[in-house]
Amino acid sequence: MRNIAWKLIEVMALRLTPTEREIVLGDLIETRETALRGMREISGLVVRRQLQLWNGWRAWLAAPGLALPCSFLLMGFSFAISSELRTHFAYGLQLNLSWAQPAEAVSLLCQAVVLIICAWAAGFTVESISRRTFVVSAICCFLPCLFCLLRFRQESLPRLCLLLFLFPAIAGVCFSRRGGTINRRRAFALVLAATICMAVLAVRGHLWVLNWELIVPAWYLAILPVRPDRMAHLRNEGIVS
Amino acid sequence: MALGEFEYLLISAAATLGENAYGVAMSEAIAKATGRTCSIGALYTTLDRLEAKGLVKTWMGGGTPQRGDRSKKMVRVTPAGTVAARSFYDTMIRISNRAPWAVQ
Repeated sequence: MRNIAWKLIEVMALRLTPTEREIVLGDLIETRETALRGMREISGLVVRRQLQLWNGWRAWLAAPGLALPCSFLLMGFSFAISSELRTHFAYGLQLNLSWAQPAEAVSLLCQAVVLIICAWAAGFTVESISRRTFVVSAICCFLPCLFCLLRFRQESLPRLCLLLFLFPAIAGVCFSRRGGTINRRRAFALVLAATICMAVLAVRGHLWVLNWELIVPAWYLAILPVRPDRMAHLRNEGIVS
Repeated sequence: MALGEFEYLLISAAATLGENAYGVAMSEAIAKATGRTCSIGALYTTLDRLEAKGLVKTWMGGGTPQRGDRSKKMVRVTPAGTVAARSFYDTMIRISNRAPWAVQ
């Protein structure tokens, strides 16, 4: 029983940094606390640490500032791309109209580029600016998804088409988790491509004005100062070994 | 620099324990002096705050068999911490010296 309780305490302590985990678990062993009290002590510290993270701007920018609105906006792009693809590949092939209208093909290409770059950059940025509140950011991303999936009424398209953006977004998160960095030249190339595509969409009237927020994470990547101590910081946080 | 009551308790405990000041020892000293238990959460978040203010310095100490060879967080009061604690103490003495419980 005590072993199970101790395992539970260790699992709860995973929310702490490795250094703090080591210290606190040592304290609990030394004071021979009961399992219940040990769990209360650890959960108290975890809650305090989590609340402290919300004192700064990073957590607020990552969760309600980026994850929530980007999720809504990128779902719009996912839906638009799915609809266009369905038109081209289903009806277009039947009527032999596929890619007959280059303007439509350009719009589709621009939407796809914006979706991939902006979703990837949003995932990377949200994860890297506030790593320890990532769970809340993920919830802020999934709540709009749930809302839209439940209200989805298009019979000609599968509901999951709304979640197309999640593939590049998750790739961005994983890249950041592995401690990945992107050099400034590549970041500028990406952000420039996304901006040009958005401008093309705006000129053609295919872009809602609020969609410009999607470009913010990509620009953040481009102007983010390259921190040489990033890996050391990640190691200290226990994110990479 | 203004201190809160718990911050003062921590600095006083660390100063009293000297070289042996670390989490568990400080927690026990505070519990003994105040009759209240000191939670790990309160202890370490307050220590971080004090360190950020430059009033204490902390570092990782070696483990002992009693704690499963896990490291300790050692604490030392800095000169600024001593000044802040003295100022708090003097203020308490000044404000209390005519209070009925002090005059008795």
